[in-house]
Amino acid sequence: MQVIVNGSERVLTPGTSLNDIIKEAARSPEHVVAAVNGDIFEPMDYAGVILKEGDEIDLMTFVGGG
Amino acid sequence: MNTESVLENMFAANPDGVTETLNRASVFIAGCGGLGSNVANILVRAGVRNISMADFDVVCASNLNRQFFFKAQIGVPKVKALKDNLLAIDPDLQLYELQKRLCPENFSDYIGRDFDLVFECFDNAASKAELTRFMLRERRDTIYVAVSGLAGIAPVENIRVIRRSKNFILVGDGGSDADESGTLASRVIAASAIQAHCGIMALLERA
Repeated sequence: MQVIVNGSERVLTPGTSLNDIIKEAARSPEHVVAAVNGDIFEPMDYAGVILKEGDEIDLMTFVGGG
Repeated sequence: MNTESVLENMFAANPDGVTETLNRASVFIAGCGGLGSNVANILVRAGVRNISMADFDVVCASNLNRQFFFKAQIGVPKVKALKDNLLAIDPDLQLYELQKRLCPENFSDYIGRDFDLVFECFDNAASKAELTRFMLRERRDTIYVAVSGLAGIAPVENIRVIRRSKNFILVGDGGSDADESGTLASRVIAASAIQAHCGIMALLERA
C-alpha cells in the first residue's frame, strides 16, 4: 500500500494506523500536528485512523521553547 | 509637544503604506514569554495598536535573560507587566490582557474570528501543537504564525520560514528543544523578530 508522508512516497502494510507512523517520527504524539488528506486529527484519534492507499499524510512535530 | 504629534513622528521612518495597515490590525498573542513579549514589543514599534495578549504566568528571574521584562516586575503577571511596558512605548495603545491558561477547551472563547493575526508564542510543545490544530481547523481565514525550534546556540540562519498554507507560517529550526539546549537571548529574540516580521508581511499582503 502506497501513501505520501510529508511529500515522500512510502510503502506501508495494510492496517497501518496514523499512530504507527507518528510513533516513528516523534517521541510524543501530543507534539505532532497530523493531517490526512487535509483533515486534522486529535492525538486521541491517531490510533483509530487506518491509512488507505493514496493517502497524503502531513506530520508537523513541534519542539519546546518560547 | 502633545501625544498626537509625538505619535506622528514615531512612525516617520516606517516604509510607505505600512503604518496605516498595521494601525488597523487586530492581533492576538498566545503566550507572553520569550517569543510573545518580544513580538509585542516589535509590533508596537512597527505600528500595531490593537493587541490582545494571553498568559497565565508571572515574571520570574529566569525569564529576564530573554524576555521583555524588568527586575522590578518579578512576581507580576506577565500580561500586566507586558501591558505596562508596551504603554511606556506608546500610552494610547488598545491592549487587552488575559491572565488565563489557554487550552483546547477555551481557545474558541478567547481567540475570536475577528482577529486578523494570531501569534503562537507558547513554550510548551504540546500547547504549540494544540493551538496549531485549533487554528488550522477553526480559524483558517486568520493569519497564523507559529514557532518550533529556537533554542540553543545553533546558527541563526538555521531558523527557517515555511509557508505551510496561505494563512499559516511556521518559523524555526524545527529541532532545537529548550529543555535540552537552553534559551539564549540572541536566538530567541531573532526568532521573535522573524515571527513578528512574517505576521507583518502577511498583513501587508492582505491590505
